[in-house]
Parts: sequence; structure tokens; C-alpha cells
Amino acid sequence: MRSKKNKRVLIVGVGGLGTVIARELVLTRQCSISLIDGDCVSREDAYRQILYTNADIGKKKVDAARARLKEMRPTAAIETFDVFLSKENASSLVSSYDIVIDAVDNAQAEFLMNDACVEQGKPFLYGAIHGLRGQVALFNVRRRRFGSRPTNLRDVFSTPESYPRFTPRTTGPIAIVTGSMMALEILRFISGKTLRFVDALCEIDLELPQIRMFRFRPRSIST
Amino acid sequence: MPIAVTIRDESSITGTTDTLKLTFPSSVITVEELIKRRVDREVRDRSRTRVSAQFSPVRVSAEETILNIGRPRRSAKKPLLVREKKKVSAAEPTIEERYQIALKGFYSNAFFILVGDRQVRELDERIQLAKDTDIRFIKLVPLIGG
Repeated sequence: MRSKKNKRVLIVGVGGLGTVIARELVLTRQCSISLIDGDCVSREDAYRQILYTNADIGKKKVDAARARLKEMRPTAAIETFDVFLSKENASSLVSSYDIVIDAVDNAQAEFLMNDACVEQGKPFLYGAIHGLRGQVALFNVRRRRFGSRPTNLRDVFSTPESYPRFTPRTTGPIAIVTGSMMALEILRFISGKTLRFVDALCEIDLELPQIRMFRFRPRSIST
Repeated sequence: MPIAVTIRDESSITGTTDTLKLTFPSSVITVEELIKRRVDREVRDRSRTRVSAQFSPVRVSAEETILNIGRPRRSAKKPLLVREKKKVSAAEPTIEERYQIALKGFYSNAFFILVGDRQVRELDERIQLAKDTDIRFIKLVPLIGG
């Protein structure tokens, strides 16, 4: 078991959620982080993703994010991977981390991460946003009451094919609120405090505004 | 004394998608009774729609299931718990089979039920009904942005 300071966090996707989470983790000095993203910064990203500015447009996201985080805390341990998560690399990328963070914007990558985490027994923090709504859940963390199997993404959302087909619209405020909630859960995990999103999906609606928690169980458990 | 309550359907993306009124013979019911009453109602509504659809230019889709509640609605009434088969076959599920599918759905996270702010999680859990009791059937739909 690694000590608190040596915990390694893998953030997959450095967009709206990923930039918020990375910033919080770097500033709290609680762990080392790795960033995965094969994308470049677009004009829209520069407007609503907190680590980027207009000067970063066209640069690799992982490079721009790393440079900005290093400005904030020069001693931060930040590793970067300029790749997209794929079937070929998912398992090996996940293997050396204590927790894996979902900050991607596609269902296939979410399920790849989930399945790699299930296979290797790694906690998997799911996060997603659309419009003014956000969701957070922590999967693959064992709770005694359900016996043998911890819950995972497939217990709630079945398959990537079951995802609705629409282009996600994300806004800065929901990314900041949802990303901050995810960062807090990671810090609770690192410091061994009570985790809030195990076997529960938190739904945030900034329009009403309201926060609701839905408790769920593994699909095979019938009572 | 019979009591009528309004049930709301919600999904993560679209918010409230539908409402329906259900009447119960008493003011204390179990979650199982709530689900079964809802299945009864949907089966009844569905058979009524099927008969009227013969005379209507707008036919109700055969694949209207709980999984669709997050999508834009093409017709006013879609069953939440009663799954229809794509092709009408001789072996139509019995009402008892439909109950079992819906109850299994409750235990496998296909939908969630909120009574006020409280999530009910067991079939034998009791619900105290009043005219203004807020009951919601919620389908969690994954959001894809990151």
C-alpha cells in the first residue's frame, strides 16, 4: 500500500472535468497525477476549460495542462500521455494507479476504463456532464453488505450501446461543480476518509438547482 | 378510502417526461403494490391504444419501453414498465410475467423510485399516501460530456 503522498491518480481526459480535477489535486499536494488525452486545445476548450487560454489553441491538451499546472505548483509530480484510451492500451495504462478518473466524453472509453478497473480491482470514479446536469459515482469499491462483488458501471448503464445518441453540450459552471465533487471524493479516498459515492450515483442539476443521490446495487443481487 | 396520486416519470436528460394518476384502495401501500398497479394501468392503456390505433393515422410504436423515456417522445402516452414485443407473437407475456419483469427491473437499477426526497429500495417498504404525495419513477440516463 502506498503512503498518502505517493498515491497515484490517473485522469483520463483533460477537458471540462479533467482540468478542474487536475487543478484541485495539484493544489492540494496530496498525490501524483497522470493525464491522458490525445486531443488538441480548440477555441471552445479555451473558453470553458479552466487550464487553457487562447494562447494554447492548437497545442496538445496534456502539454498545455501540464505547463499551466507547473506554473501553479512547480514541484508537482505530473506525468502525461498524449494518446487516446483504446482497447490496446487501457489495461496497461490503468495497472500502475491507485484510482482511475473518468473525465472523457465518450461511452466506449468509459466502458474500457470500467472493464480494466474491474479486471484489476481498481477504484473507478465516473463523472459526466451535459448542459447544466452532472453525474458522479464511485465504482469498484467493495462494500460488505453486498457480499462478494462491488458495483461497476455496467450495473447502472449496461453497455455503451445503451447510451443516448446526442452531442454533449457542456458548460463551465457544471464542469466546475461536478469536477470539484469528484476531486473531493478522490481526496477522501487518498486520506482514507468515508467515501460518499460508493454504490450511489449523485446527480447534480444546476438549473433547479438540486443534488440527488440514487443508491443502487449489483445487478445480480435480488434482495 | 381510495386515494388518487400523481406519478411523474423523469430521466436524467429531459427531466419530467410524463405524468399519470393512479388510484389506490388504501392510503398505505408497499412499493410492490405501487409497481404492480402501474403495470396494470400501462397494460390497460396499451390495449386501449391498440384498439384505437386501428382507426388512427398515428400508430403507437411497438418498441416503447422504459429504456426510451430519455428520448424525445413521438406520441403522448408511452408505457414505462410494460415492454412490448417488436412483432406481435402468440406468446404475449401474461400479467404475472409482466409484474415479474417490472419487479426485476426495480432490483436491477432499470428505474428508481423516489417518494418525496426519499428513495425507496425494497419491495416491502411502506409508502404513506396523501393527495400531494410526490412519487417519481426515475430512469438514470448516462450523460456523455466530460
